[in-house]
Amino acid sequence: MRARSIALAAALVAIAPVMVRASPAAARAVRLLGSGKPGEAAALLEGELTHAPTNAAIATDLGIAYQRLGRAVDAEQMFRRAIKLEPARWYAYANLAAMKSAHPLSREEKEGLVRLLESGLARQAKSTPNGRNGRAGILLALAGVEESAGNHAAARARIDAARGLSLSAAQARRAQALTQSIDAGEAERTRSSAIDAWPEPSISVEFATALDQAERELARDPSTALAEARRLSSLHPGWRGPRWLASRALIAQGRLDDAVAALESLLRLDPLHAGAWRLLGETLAEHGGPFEAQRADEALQRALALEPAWSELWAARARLLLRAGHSQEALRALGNVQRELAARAEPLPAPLSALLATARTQQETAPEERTAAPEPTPLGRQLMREAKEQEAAGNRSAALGLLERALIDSPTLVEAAALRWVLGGPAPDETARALDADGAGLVRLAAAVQGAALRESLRSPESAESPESARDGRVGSDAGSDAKEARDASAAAALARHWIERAAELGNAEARLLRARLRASEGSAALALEDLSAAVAAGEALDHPDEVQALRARLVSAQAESPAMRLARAQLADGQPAQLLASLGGACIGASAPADADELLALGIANDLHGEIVLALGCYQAALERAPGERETLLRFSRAAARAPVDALIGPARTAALLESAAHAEIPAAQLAQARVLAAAGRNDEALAAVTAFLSAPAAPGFIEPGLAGARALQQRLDAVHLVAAEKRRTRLFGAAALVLAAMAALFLLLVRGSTLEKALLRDPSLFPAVVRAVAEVRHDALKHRASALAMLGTAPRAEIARSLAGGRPASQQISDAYSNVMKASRLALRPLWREPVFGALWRDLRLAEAQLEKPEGPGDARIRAVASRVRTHGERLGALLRMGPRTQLDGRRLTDWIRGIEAELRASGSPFVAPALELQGLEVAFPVSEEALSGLFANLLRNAEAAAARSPAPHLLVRVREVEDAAGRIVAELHIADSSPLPLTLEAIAAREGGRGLALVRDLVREWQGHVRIAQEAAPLCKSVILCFPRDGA
Amino acid sequence: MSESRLPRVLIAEDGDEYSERFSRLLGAHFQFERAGSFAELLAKLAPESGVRPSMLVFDLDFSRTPAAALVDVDGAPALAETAAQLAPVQGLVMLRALRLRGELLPALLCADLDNAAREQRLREELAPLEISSSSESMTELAARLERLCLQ
Repeated sequence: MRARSIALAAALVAIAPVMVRASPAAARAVRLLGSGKPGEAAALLEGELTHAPTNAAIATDLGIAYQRLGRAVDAEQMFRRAIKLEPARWYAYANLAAMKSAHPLSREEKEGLVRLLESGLARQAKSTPNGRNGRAGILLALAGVEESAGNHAAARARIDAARGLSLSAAQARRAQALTQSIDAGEAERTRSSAIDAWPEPSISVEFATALDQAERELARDPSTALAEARRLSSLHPGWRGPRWLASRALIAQGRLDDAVAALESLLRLDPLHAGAWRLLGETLAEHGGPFEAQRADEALQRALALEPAWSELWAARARLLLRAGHSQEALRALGNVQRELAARAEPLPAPLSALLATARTQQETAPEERTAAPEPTPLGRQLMREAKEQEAAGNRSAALGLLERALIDSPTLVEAAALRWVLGGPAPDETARALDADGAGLVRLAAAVQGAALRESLRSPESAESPESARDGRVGSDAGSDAKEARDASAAAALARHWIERAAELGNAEARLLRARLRASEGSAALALEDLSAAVAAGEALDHPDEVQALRARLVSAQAESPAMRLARAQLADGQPAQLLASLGGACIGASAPADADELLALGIANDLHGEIVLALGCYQAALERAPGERETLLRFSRAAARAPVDALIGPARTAALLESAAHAEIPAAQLAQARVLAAAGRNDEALAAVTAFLSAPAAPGFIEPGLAGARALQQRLDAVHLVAAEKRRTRLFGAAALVLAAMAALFLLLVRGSTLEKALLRDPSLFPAVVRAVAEVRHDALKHRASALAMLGTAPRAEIARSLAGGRPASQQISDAYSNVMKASRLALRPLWREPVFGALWRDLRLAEAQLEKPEGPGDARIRAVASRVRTHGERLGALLRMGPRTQLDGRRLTDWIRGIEAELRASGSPFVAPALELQGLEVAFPVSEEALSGLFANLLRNAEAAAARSPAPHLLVRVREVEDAAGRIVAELHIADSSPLPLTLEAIAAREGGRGLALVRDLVREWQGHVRIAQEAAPLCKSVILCFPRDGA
Repeated sequence: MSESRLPRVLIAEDGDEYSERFSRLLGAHFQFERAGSFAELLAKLAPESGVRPSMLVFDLDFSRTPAAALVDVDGAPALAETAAQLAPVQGLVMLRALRLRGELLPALLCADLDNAAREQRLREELAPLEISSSSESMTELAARLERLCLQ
């Protein structure tokens, strides 16, 4: 229906173009504009626009009026509005470009303007007059922008492209003006690229020094360097140094546009400044973007021309050229580098190798350049015009003749070929052959033939042109759908089909659309859809985009999207989330919330885009309640949750359930959201696992999952926390291990610390007496009188046995007390009782027996019997200790040594000394006394005897050592010290002496060592002897 | 068996540990009597004292016995200067003295002599004599008593 109305409109346009204008007021406004009355025109147009707000022509004319009134902002707004209303309306593009190009634009503004113009260019039909007109207009506008930016080559290319489209007079004039401007600009550039630079003023030493200082300042403080450079430059404008410094200071400050201007200024003064050319080229190459690529390349070329040694600039040029898709030139540039390196027998560095490979690949994969057919010549066009005149005058044969000549001259003049065919001439096969590689040309030929056939059938004149009116041309089909079918229309269609097929094969998007239409009408929906998809994917401008959608709608049976979602997506695509929110009501919960899941989803997306993530979450959740498990909604919910504040995720159980469901559905974003929630809850290990799973999840090819950066940051943070926690755990573990080790060490020390009695006796024989006493006590009291009763368990009353062992002071306590006494007497650290092998074992057994005896008779009595069986062993071990007592062998040598020691002592003190006689029984006698004690005893006795003997008239002393057997059958080692002192000495007297010295010491020490002292009479000259007796076999 | 029929064992000790313990544990089998000195021992061995003991038990160490009550190997009161050396072995000394007097009752010396050769020598010199160490259990000791009483 819409296509039919458009076709009708086109027909109306063809008949009465003026009727396209909405109202007389608008037409009057156009006349006012032409009369130089933009104010009145603006007022009228404003009123008209109010009534027809979607009229792009009125908007364009109003923009022109504003522009002429100097209201540039309003003018731009109107032009953009017109573009928006009718994107194919070229006038608005051209006027906008012209207006903006008249003033200096920033790089971004220029690039934006170029993009806009190119998008308008793409929307212009290639095969219709109006489309070509529009293309020409926009190309010239682009040329103007390029020219204003100084890109003369690009401007010339645009102009040439426009000229190939049969310019109107105005456009031709415009093209000519642009060319002249370009020529002038190039002339100016030529002047600036003269070999001779401008003379430089002479500079004083003071200024030169100042410049040097400023140069040194550049690295540290570019601002200061710049200020100084400008000061110096203002004083000497022709001086290059400050300008050069200023350029570099501006680059250091990142003021690239100013730096480029400064460099260009410098280069105007000094076109031979290779460094400035290089810096300009490199700056434009790095920061200029595609718009500046040509200037960058030119600058680098100039730098190379001045300094061929900068071979690295060839690589820079190659990159620029590759970026622009000029692989061949890039290869030539790289070839220079290769030759230089080959001359030095150096290999190509890896970056350059990569560049070379890229260039080669680009060259190999570059689309085959379609050879455009040669453009018709002016003669051919002239002949064409004459033929039309003849045809209009009814002179068909003359027209045919002229057309023949035109086609001979310009075989690709499609209008001539079409008109000739319509006038009865042959089919335009030569033209088709000439255009065989030119898809666009073939489409033009098809359109021309069909158009000619239609015109022939309609017998309507061509429409006149006006700069402010837009006409929509159509290619064939819909225009003739209701009009009278020309006799040759079907033939024209048949011819056109062949050319359309060929053009489609060549990849021409318009041809694909045409073929899609034909295939759709033939019922080949799948093929038609293929062509349509290819045409859309080609990205080139397609005539009647609405028709494309309509055709699509015919071909695609089911609508996957609801109208709400389609509208929502359209509004979102237009960047209008607020409008979408308003249109859908805004709320996702409550009475006013939409019921439709798609609308809720759309609201969610709108809120999401609007930055209201929490609201978006709610909308998604509401949508999921309406349509549970809907994957897209779940996906969007998850992605929003991955970005939403964690507080919004924590708490609602539904949120956690949805995330779980989404994670289960392998939606990675859900894992990221879960990771954030877990991290907030301090469950760092689980969070780390979740975020790692998110990062590891395979993404759709080429799709960048949202939230990657945040996820990586979260992973890093959790890794750090994990490491710290692990470190803490390790520290705790180590601490615990250290504690355990310390405890074990302490235990070990406890276990190993201290000596057993055996070892202690070996190391310190003086301990023996204490051990003897303890052993005697233990054996007599604990073993004999107490432990021996254990064997009577079962035969004697239990109570009696218990009383024997534990009555009074328990036997185990006796052991403990005895051992304590030994420990006290020991000079060495002894093991604690529980670790002492002899006393400790007995003690443990007795404790065991005591404990068991407290219990009633029972199976535990086996322990008592076991202890009873070990009593003998305990006794033997205790007895073994007694065999470890010291043995001091007293022989003549030792005695002599001791005597000599006493002698020396006495003589040193001036005391008298009488050498004692020695009487030894045998070679030696073993005394069960430590050497220390025995020597001490000997010394004391001898001193005492010496002292006593000294008081005798004839001092005599005797030392006797012997063994005797006592009444108990013991072998007793005796040490006699006899002296000749007649002074009596009794044991009572010795016993009565205070301890610590002399005979008292002897007394105590002898007793200590289980010996005894006796006094015996001696034969003259001796009187008495003090005898120390030590039973060698114990008791 | 009535107490009057129980073997009498005369224990010579400076304390009462043996007699008390033996009486408690072996009182059902033996009748124990104590002598704290040689004089007391002689007195209890005198025919006029009553039933003659079946055997003698001697503690070795009489350190708790006053020096005046100690005897030498002859059974004579020990000299003051020899008391110290006689006290630790008084039991043996008393037995030796009894043997010198012709007393041949079986004797059991409770002592840790720690010398097998010496023990053998003493058994030979002072027979009938058995020597019981502190490691011996009451049952073993009881067996000795029984054996000695039957000699």
